[in-house]
Amino acid sequence: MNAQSIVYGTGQYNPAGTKALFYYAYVEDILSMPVLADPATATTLASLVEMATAVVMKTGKRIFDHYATSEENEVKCTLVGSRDGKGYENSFEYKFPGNDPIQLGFQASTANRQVVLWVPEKNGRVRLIGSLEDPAYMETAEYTSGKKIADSRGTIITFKASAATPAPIYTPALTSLLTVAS
Amino acid sequence: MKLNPDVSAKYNLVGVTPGKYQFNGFGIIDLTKIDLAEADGLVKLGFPHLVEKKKTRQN
Repeated sequence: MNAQSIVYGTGQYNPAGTKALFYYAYVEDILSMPVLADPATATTLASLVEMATAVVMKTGKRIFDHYATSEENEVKCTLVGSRDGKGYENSFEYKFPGNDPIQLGFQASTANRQVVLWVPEKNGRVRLIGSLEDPAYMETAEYTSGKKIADSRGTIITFKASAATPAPIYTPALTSLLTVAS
Repeated sequence: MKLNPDVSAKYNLVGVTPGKYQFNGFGIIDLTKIDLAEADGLVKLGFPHLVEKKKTRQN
């Protein structure tokens, strides 16, 4: 793979944070996911992290949306490991307000389950946390009722996945995944 | 990218285009590199993306 110029367009928008909705799927509901290019065969740097072919869900399955409190959510990609063996820990931390039974049930159902998350960032790029081979796991979930009226009631949840690359960018439209696969 | 000609002669590819994917329960498979024996094996295991073509009656 050849090296490439890495530029940044002057004046382009780069709003921080993630959007107020992200999407999730149980790994067992996914039929297939494309494989990212490998450094040995890739022709562009972007192809190492861009997933341009859509995920395929099993018949009767779809991905689901999940609300997250605005400006309380964060995608993080952290290089870890020793020299010549480094990889990435990709995580998504978000806050869900209140103590809604459906969301609490989601926590219960995913505490020991493999999932994949699609997290749209505010600059329009959708980051993928987890895959079929390296799924995301719920790492922490901490609920508080708050103590005083000015406190906050809600749960802060973190999902984490390990990968060879920073969280990939998923470019196909999500609309097809939001309808039940036939 | 295309399927091996022997594979495409026997099977239709359904739901995905030729390429390299993670398949749930089957691992990572490059569909452009599997031969007919591997395709037959996958189908026997219930691989949903390869569907045998209907044989046409010959006079």
